[in-house]
Amino acid sequence: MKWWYMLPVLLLCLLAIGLWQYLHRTEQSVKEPLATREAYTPQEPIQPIPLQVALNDTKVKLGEKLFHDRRLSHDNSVSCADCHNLETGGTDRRRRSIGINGAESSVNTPTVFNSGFNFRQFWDGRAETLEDQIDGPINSPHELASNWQEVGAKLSASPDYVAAFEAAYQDGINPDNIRDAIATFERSLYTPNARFDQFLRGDSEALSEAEKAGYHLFKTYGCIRCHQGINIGGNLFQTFGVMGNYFTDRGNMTKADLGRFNVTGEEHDRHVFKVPSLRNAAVTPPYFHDGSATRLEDAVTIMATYQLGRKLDPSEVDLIVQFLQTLTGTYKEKPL
Amino acid sequence: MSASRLWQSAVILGVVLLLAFLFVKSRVVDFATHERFTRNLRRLQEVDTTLNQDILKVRDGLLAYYDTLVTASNELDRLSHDIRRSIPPFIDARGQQHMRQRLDAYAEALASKLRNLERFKSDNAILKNSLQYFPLAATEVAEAARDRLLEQEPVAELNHLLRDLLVYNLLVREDLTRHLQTRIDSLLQNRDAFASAVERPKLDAVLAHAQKILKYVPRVNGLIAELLAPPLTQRGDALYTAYNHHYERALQTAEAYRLVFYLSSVALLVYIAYIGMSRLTDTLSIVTAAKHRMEEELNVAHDIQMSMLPLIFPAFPEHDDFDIFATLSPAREVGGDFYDFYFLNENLICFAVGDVSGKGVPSALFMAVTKTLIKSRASSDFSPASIVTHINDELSRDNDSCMFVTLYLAILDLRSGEMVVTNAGHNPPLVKRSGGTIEWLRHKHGPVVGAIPGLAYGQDSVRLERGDMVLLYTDGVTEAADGSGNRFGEDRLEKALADEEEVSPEPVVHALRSVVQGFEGDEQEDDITMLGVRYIGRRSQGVNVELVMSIPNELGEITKVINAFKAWGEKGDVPKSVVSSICVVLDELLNNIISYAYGDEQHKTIELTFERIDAGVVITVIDEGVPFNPFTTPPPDTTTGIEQRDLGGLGIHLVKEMMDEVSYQRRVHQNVVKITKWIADDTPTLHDQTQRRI
Repeated sequence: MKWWYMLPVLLLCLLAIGLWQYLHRTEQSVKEPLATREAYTPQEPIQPIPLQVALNDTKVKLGEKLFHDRRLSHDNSVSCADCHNLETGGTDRRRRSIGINGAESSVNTPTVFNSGFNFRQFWDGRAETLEDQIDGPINSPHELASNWQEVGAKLSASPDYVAAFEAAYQDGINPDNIRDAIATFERSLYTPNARFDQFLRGDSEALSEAEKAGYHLFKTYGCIRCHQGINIGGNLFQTFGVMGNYFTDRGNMTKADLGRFNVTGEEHDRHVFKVPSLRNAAVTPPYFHDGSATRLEDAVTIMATYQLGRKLDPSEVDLIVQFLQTLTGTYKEKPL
Repeated sequence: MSASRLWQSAVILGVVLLLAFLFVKSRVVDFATHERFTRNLRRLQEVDTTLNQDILKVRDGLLAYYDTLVTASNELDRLSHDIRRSIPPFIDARGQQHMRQRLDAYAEALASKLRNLERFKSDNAILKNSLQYFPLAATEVAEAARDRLLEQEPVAELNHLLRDLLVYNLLVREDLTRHLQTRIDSLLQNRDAFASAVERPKLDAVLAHAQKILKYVPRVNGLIAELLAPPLTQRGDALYTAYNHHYERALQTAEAYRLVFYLSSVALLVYIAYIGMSRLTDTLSIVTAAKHRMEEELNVAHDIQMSMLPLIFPAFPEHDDFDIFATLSPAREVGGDFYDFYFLNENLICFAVGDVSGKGVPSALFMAVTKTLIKSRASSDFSPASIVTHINDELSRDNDSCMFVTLYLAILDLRSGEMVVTNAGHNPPLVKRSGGTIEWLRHKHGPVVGAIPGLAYGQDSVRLERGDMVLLYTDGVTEAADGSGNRFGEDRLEKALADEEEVSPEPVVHALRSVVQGFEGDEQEDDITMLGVRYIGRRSQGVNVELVMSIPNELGEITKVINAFKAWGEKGDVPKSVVSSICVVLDELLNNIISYAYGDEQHKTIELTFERIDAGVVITVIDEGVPFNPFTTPPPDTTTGIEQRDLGGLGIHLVKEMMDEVSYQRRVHQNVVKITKWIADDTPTLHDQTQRRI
């Protein structure tokens, strides 16, 4: 063997080493921060929604398309947007939502707006993230009644989707990417610039005196203890009926009324629910997990009764409702 | 490809692969991964600390919302998952296992903490709500009651409860619990006292909130205690320590691999060097073999050279009238020297020294050819000039390789000491006379032999006296050089010869060779050849009287010759019958020569020599006519000579009949006819020698 035969062999070895190193390099997954939070006076228990949240536009667009696509349901009849109608505050404003074949959901559909700021998803908080949450409606026989295999097959049959996924993801269509796209879109559904946020940002003229009085009552009567933070709720669990038994008074107790107990099985989680966000509350009736309160006034009254143990004056209720109405933000610069 | 080469390649490939493996192993500790991982580990502790701080802030009311708690707990959860997924691959299996155990322990503690955190958030919200609302509601109820009740004790009781609860909350005094519970119970029992003044539900709500405070203060404090309990931090530290331990081990392992990598590299280099060396050795052995072959070839040349030389001395032990000795010391590479000697007849000894141009087998072969040519020519031609002229023609014909030979050829007549020599471009020989004087024989008769065809070489005669020694040699003697480039030269040779006390050729030649070799040292550049001949002479020298005559080529001169011969013959005791028969022969011979040898009627000289030797008379006739051998070719019959002359009829046959020996030789431009007539009764006598010229 001539000596120069060794040269390609050596080069080949070097190449192999390089390839080996390349294949075994550690994944550097740098997660973009969800949102850069503005720093506000921490003494206010409520924080404004950031005006801009940086998100991957391609994924947002893809997610939007998926969100409105009825093919995500088994018989192509229902889309996410059918219950989370963005035109009606990100919900269907029904007590119960109608899924596939007219099936009714077990709880009221919460708004999809600002769901990205919630610390858990679902009333009982069984989903940690938006991505996990999507599994729920996809598989639920009362909602989309489908499964990932079916959804994947349907989407793969569409050249548009194949191209869109290729553009947004390295590995094309798969459940993870579908979840990610939809979740990314949902994170884009934030509603900044509510009048109350303007007030928080220092514009004291943004609220009327009555609204300010309402906010004061809101704090005085302890609502603020649970409905705080950026989403005015959505960051803790709380028992429904601290000062009274709501469910006995209402009657017709269902399994869903057990709340977080269904998830943890712990006694102290009985009737415990995720505290819902009060953002855009004015445009997302009916209220509570059972959708029993059709008006804000009713909701405020019930809350005061069962959480505080106080029967509010109608004037107080009115002030608080006025305050709650200032929490309606904008989506794509249009008020909800 | 041979099996060994295949092995070598396989071994090298194997070692290279091993090196690649070792290289990869030695580089396995990736510092970026390590940095990322330790950053995550540190971040874990950091976030935990931040979370703990935020929990305390929330408790103390410095933080009015839970978002930071959510962020921190989410990050802790994410980090612990990230860490579990990204345990660096350079941590060995045992380390991975260990790390996973530690991570499991950490995750367990974390899950417990996060569960407690959720309960804390809920319970804290309830507690804070009650703490805020209870004074408000209690004051409302108390003021309403105070305005309307006569009995103020329940109001005071309520106020005490309010005060005690706030103290209880502020100081976290567990010992107050029972006391407070008693107060609440008593208020519950006495709530009828408020009945008239306050709505019952309002009072119930106040007391319920009091109950909540009483219940939730220890609960929240307990949760905080649990949340801030050390296990998570400790387990985080343990995780960090464990990782560092395994990281150190991975580093050591990588170091070990690196060391082995370096050693293996060195081994590979050594192996390659070894292969290179053995390849060189192979080449060397090929070169050696080639050199060996060349040496063998040189040996062939040497063998040819030596086989051509008479090497046995004394060469002629039966001869005491001369002594001959010769040596040839070959140089490392075979040169073209040669010498030779042999008798031409009982009186003439021929000896020669030559030096062929070039070296090696071609030179040896050329030498052999030259020697053979000399010997074959000399067998019938006793004239050195003629011999050299002849072999020059032979050698220069078709001499494509342009080889040539310098030649010194001598024929010594042992009877007279006369030595006829031809020097063809050779070194001049020396004669050391019996008296010790040195003479150089500087005759030159032409250039080297074999170079130019058609040349006629001359010859000279040298008379050697008894005891004289002639020394022939080649240029290996005079051109022998010492270390500093000085040549041995003729002067040193002459001196060496003069200084030599020995007289026999053998010791003299040996002595001279030692002198030359001593001068030259170890490096002999050329063959050194020397040939010495010492003329001793014959003890019983016979009658040797000569008559030399020169006549012009005229028919009238014949009578003069015959008369002179008759006179010489009487004087030399030649019997009359012999004289008369010789006279007849002379008449016939001279007639023949004068009549036919000179077609152009030129005036030429005919030389006659009459010699009285021991056993008879030798007559030599030399003419310069056209080549003509009277003993083989009959005279042309068209001439008129035969009819005119009486004796002409007898012809050459008569000459051959009457004489005992006849011979003819053609020299360069001479016809030499020699006739001998033996005399039966011979009484040898010493006579003076007369020099003669041929």
